[in-house]
Formats: sequence, structure tokens, C-alpha cells
Amino acid sequence: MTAAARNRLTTPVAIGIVVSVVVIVAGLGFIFAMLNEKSLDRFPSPVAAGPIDGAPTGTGVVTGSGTSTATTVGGTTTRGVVTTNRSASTTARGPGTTARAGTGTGAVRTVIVKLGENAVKIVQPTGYASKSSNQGITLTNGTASLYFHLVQRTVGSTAAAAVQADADSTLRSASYSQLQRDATSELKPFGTVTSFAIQSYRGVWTPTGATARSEQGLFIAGAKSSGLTLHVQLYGALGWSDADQTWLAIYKQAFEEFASN
Amino acid sequence: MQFSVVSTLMPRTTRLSDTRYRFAIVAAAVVVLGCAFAGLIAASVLAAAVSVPVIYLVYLYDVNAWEDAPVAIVAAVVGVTAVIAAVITVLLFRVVFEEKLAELTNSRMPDLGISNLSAGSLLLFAVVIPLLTLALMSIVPLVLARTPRFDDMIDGFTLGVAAGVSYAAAETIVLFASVFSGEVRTTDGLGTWFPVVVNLMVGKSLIYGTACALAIAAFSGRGDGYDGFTRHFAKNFAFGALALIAYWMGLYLFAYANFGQGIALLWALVIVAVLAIRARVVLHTAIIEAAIEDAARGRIDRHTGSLAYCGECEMPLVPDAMFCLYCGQSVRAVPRASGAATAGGGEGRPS
Repeated sequence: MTAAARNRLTTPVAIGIVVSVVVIVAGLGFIFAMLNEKSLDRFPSPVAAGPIDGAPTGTGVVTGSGTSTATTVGGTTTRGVVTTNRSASTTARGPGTTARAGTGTGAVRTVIVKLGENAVKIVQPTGYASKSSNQGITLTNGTASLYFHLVQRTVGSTAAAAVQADADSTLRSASYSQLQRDATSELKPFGTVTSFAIQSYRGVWTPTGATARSEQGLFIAGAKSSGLTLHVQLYGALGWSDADQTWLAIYKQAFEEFASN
Repeated sequence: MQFSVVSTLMPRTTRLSDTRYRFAIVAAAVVVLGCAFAGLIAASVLAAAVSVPVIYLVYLYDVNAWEDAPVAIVAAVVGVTAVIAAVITVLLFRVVFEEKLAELTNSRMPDLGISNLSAGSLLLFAVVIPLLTLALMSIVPLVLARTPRFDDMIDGFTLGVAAGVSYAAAETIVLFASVFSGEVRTTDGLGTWFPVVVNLMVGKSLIYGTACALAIAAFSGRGDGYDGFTRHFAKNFAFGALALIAYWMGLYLFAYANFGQGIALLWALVIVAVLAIRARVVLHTAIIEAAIEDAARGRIDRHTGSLAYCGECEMPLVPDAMFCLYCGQSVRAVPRASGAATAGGGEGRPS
């Protein structure tokens, strides 16, 4: 081929074509998003998301022991720790769900979130990996993740305030856009838990600029009269109506365990 | 050495038309940033993804690349490459390695920071997949560069840019598809989106385009026919692959820093500058080859009807010239055997 380079377009025409096409494409993006938004009106309510309404009746308390402490202090909170342990095959079932954990003969790990003398045993079903830090522990199965941590709040502080604080600190605009946050819902307390609250959200998680993904999640907290509060953040590309809501059984079991002591 | 990106990626532009594409990029960026400023993230991301490919297509038409037969070529390069990109991206990011990607991007336990990063996932998404990406975006231009009509280095470079920017666009649309399912208009996270959309539009597109162009230009090589998978090709492919790896590493690692998206944008611009400098070196040779070939073809009818090439540098020889215009090698001093070989189109070269 030759190096001939006679221009066919004038400068205004070339720029006009580029701008027109880019504007049309942007318009298509806007229209597509508008059409798609209508199909997603079904915002996950706390009930649809399946939190505990009153005392949970699951049977999934897991035995296990072992400790390793690493405690930090920050503000009004004292955070605690995680240990892991293996127990024989154990199931954790939440009422009215199809959630299963540890079915079959496979071993089920238990992890323990600990704060001082207080500890909560959490079941780690098959298919979930755990990662611990000084503050808490995350269980994840690749699509759903649950982050647990115990916090010593001031006496009399409510779970609703804890949930609100978690949501405000986590759903930062540096990482989320198109956020939809539900109002914090106070739920019926149970056992030794005197205050119990939940807030759901949905947004686009853009941590790196490499990709973006829709995310739904829940902030849940249960507080005792002493101020000891179990915080849970559930997040991921969750399908709220998914048949396999293992994550639901996990956090129900955790609160059940927390409220039983 | 300059790293003027527009004249590098659009080597057929004159000083005047070079300026028009600078304005076109600025105008497209205004649309992209305007949408982001208005909170229309879906519109902004889509516009960012297609801006550079659209500008490049207009450029190809404007300079009449490939003499009035660009439609099939452009369709093959841009269309097929975009389809390959979309299919592969869905397959890798949304099906096969979805959990690995979640592991990489969901690592956000508040007190662990970068130590929570999964090395395996980082290796997969910042090294293995970018290598595969460069190979895949090179398929169509490599096929075309094997044909006599597009075997010049400058053709290979142009085909590579077209394929690279279209791959980047399709990949971006798939990876950011989530923005089409949220709120149409948002006020959250706009400060985050400004560097992200600029990075998608300028950084990613130009890195992909230039990296692919370098590889394909090396495949085409100098002289008659194409060089093929030579050491020179491997070297340039590796250079392009390193650029892609550096880009993706930056995106994932800077996420742990404050203002990570902004730093990632700056990092991408540094990579673009390095690639542009490398591309200028390649183009220097390519443009001289095209110019000499152009001059030679204008005088070719009186002779054998085919071009002869310098045995030293493989550049076209102008008929009746006593010296190679590129390297100065005396054509008359070339030994008979060597001269016969080069006059026949270069020894040992695919035709």
C-alpha cells in the first residue's frame, strides 16, 4: 500500500462526526440504563432478604474451642478476634429457608469471633473460606461474603445506631456509586439481645477502575444491654431470591449463638 | 524523541489533520466527563469506551487508508475483534474466574489492607489474562498482515491500533455492565468516576491500541512480504504485554491507596507515554519504508513491474538508484548473488 494521505474530511466535519457518534452512544447508554432500572424496582426489603424476625429457632449451634487473642481498642469499641476449629459434620438451619451448611459427611469448620471474655462461634460451611483480622472475620463463598466483628459499645447504645455507623463508614463514595440505601429497620429482640436492627443497600462497587459490579448487602447488628454488639455485614452479588441462601443460615446461627449467652 | 500520541497512532495525518484529531479527542472527553458530572454513569462509561475507536475509524476514512476499500477491512478488524473481546471477557471474568475476580476485588477487611490481597488472583488477572488479551486482539490483524495488500509495517501498525482499541472498548463494556443496572442518575461516587472514565477512554484504549500495534508492526517487518514470528516480533510482543501487565497491576494495586483511581490514571498515562516513544521509533522506519515504496512504485512501470529491496536494511529500492535511500548501502556494490536475491523480493522471506 502507499503512503498517500489526502484528507477526505474537513476539520469541522471530522469533529462533528466524532461528537455526534459519541453523543448518540452516550444516549443509548442512558436509555439502556433507564430501561434496565425499571426492571430492578424490586429493592430488597429486610423481609425479602430474610433476616431474623424475632428469636431465631435454628439448630446450628456449633461446638468448638480454641483461642488466639489479638485485641485492639478504638473509640468506644474494643474489637476482638477469631479462632478456628474443626468439628464433625454439623448443620446450621434457619427456619423457613432452604439454606444448608455442612451437608454430607464433610467436616465443617467453626470460627470464633472473640472480644475479651466474650465469644461467638460461627459456622463455616463447606464452600466458604474464612479470613481473619484483628477486627473480625470474613466468610466468603466467592459471591457472598459475611464480615463479623464484636464491638463493645457504650451501655445502652442501640443496634440501630451501630448499623447506621457501619453503613456510613462502609458505603463511601470512593468505592460506591448509584447507591440505594434502605432505612434502618428495628427488629424484635430475642434472648439476651435487647436491640436488633438491619439496613439493606444496593450499589455499584467500583474499587479499582478495573471493573464494576452490582452489589447488594445488609448491615445487621444485635446489641446486648451491656453494650456488647455483634456486627455483621453481608455483601456480594447476591440474588435475594436465590434458593441456596447459605449466608442466611450463617448469620442466623451467629446471632442465635450470641443471644444464647 | 516525542511521545505525541495522536501523530503516533495516526501516522498518516498531516500537521493540520493531526490537530483536528486532538480537538476530536478533547470534544469526546467533554461529552464523557459531562455525562459523569451529570451523574449519568452508564452514558459516561459507554461513551468513554467507544470514543477512541470512533475517532480512529473516522481517521481511517479521512486519510483513505487502503484506497477506498476500508469497509470490509474495518469490519473485520474492529467488528471481529470486538466480538472476540466480548465473548472472552464474559467467559473469563463472568463465568470461569468470577469467584477469583470477586476474591481480588472484594478483599476489603478494614484492617488488613494490601496484605489481604490474593497473590494467585492478582497473578491471574494482572499477568495471565493480559498476556492472553494481547494474543487475542492480535489475531485478526495478524491474519490480514499476512496478505500482500497489508504486509507493510505501517499497515500492520494501523491494523494493530484498530484492533487494540476495539478490544479495549468491548472489554470495558462487559466489565462495567453493572452500571447499566443501577440508578440512571447518581450523586454518589462521582469523584471516583472522573479518573475512571478518563482512564477507560484515554489510558486503556491507547495502551491496548499501541501495544497491539507494536506487535503487528514487528510481524509485518520491513521489505517485501511480512517477517512473521521472528525474534523481533517476540521482543515487541513482550514489550506490549509488559505494558498491559503494568497497566492491570496498577489498577489492582493502587486500589489500596488513597485516591487510587487517580493514581491509576496517572500510571496509565506514564505507560502510554512509554509506548508512544517506542511506537515513534517503529514508525520512523515504517513511514520511510512507505515513502520510499511510494516513490519507487511511481517509477516502476518502466522496469520489471516489481520492487527491489536493499539487501542490508530490506527497504525498497528506487529503480535506477545507486544507493539505498534508507541506509546508504551501495546497490551496485552488492555482490551478484546477493543482489539477485534481493531484487527478487528479499531472500528467505515469506511472499
